[in-house]
Amino acid sequence: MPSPQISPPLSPVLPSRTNEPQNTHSMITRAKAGVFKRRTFVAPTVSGLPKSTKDALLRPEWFSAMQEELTALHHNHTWVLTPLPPGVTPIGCKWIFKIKYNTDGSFQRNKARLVAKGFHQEPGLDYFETFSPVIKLVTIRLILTLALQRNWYVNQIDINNAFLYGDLEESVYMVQPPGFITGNSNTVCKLNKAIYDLKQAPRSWFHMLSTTLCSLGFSSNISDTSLFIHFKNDIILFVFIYVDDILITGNSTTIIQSLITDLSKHFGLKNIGRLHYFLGVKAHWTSDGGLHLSQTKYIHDLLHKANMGSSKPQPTPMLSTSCLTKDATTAFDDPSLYRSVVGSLQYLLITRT
Amino acid sequence: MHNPQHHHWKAVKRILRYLAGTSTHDLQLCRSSHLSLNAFADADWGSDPDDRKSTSGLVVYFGSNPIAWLSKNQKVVSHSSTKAKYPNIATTLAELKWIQNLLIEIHLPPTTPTIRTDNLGAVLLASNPTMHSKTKHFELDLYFVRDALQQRQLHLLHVPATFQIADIFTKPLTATTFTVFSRKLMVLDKNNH
Repeated sequence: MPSPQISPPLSPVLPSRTNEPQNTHSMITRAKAGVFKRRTFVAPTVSGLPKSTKDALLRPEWFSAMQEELTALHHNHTWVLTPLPPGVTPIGCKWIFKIKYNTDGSFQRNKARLVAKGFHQEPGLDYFETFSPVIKLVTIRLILTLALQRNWYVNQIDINNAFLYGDLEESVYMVQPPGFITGNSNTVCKLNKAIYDLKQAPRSWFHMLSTTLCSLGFSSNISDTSLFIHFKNDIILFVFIYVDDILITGNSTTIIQSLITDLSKHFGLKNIGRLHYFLGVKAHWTSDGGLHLSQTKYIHDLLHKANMGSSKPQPTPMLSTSCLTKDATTAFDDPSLYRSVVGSLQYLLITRT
Repeated sequence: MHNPQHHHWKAVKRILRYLAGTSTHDLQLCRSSHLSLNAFADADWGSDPDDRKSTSGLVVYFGSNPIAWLSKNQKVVSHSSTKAKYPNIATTLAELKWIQNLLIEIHLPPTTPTIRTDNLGAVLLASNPTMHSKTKHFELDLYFVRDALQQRQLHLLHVPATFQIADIFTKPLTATTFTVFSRKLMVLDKNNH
């Protein structure tokens, strides 16, 4: 760097500000205080997802995530190790790795989940029924309308690792988790509790939860089996269940909180507080006691998926002259995109017409 | 779904464009002073170009909030527009009965629901015990509705087509009508109300 011809007196930090208008605002900024230290942003050293279980076992941060999952499973008495009975083929299992982020997008933790290869299961042998009811959307809107009219508090809770709570009625044998094998090659896990991706996992979880609710004085509704009701001395409580998302409402906020305390004795749960995000639907409470349900984020994600993010908006969803026939004109070249987009559109029916 | 054609994809893109323009619209549930059940049932007669089956549309309001809606191809071909509305009124009644059962189970006082249709013939046919050969093939649906009317479990009213909100579920509408009806369905822009 060539040295300047007229060298000014050395004032290394503050640049000359004579030409600029003086800032008279009362707020003290770092620049005004003469602090020009470079700010450092610390990013976690996340080097992406492991390529394989073998890769994960060699990386300490993922190894500890796997150990954490195994500790939870052992603590839950998910399985006992037994020699494989003759004539039985155990189902497989594998590790799924995921990086969890906080809502603001910052790194939260590494998560390793052990899942069963449910597609190895055979009907009538290691599973029977798989149906699990979910709440009807009509019921949700009906109870929410009622809750609005009566000015009830709607509380949302989220069960952690819900599927791990389900008890298994069937005898299911699973190979030991890859990378953590003890005993000889003939030793397998006999499952007591459901694990993720087992065919009956949602069903046994729902059974577990409904048994618990019934023991707490609730009864299941006939019209919608995912709606649980409790009536006692002028106290009305409603609980609706969508797998591990649960909404509780009723005419007594104290009783709602004590129900959550009771449930937390049975399950690890997160009390989210007043309903604000359920089934991908954002709920916004207005000052006049209304509730606005929106799927804006879902729409943006869908438009992005279909590569239509910057398309020209239209006021109506259908051209009044359109004529949709089955007749073959030219087949669309990406049927799976079509099906996926149409499926997503159907999901939008929660809040949109 | 099993054999999508290019013009089907075009129709899907049109829906996506509509969503792009209205992504900030949400369903606005509000406090209603009284909770009654009101339904609108409509059918667009012979609208399917492949098999001339009709399209059913219905919406059920609980208080001032829409809680159930549907748009569906009917299962049978109908001869006249009155016949096209009938299966639909019966479907609406079935939906209302389900909701009423739910209301009874949650100990709410029973209310008599109202169905509104824009076909005067359908209203008259349900209220008058006339029966002729022309109605034979939809007798089941007709008796189902007529029975509910006679036991005073249902009101069936005529509504002019311009107020028939369920129209939106049966056929494409003009932008003006579409906007009016979707406002009535409480789908409004959250940034602008």
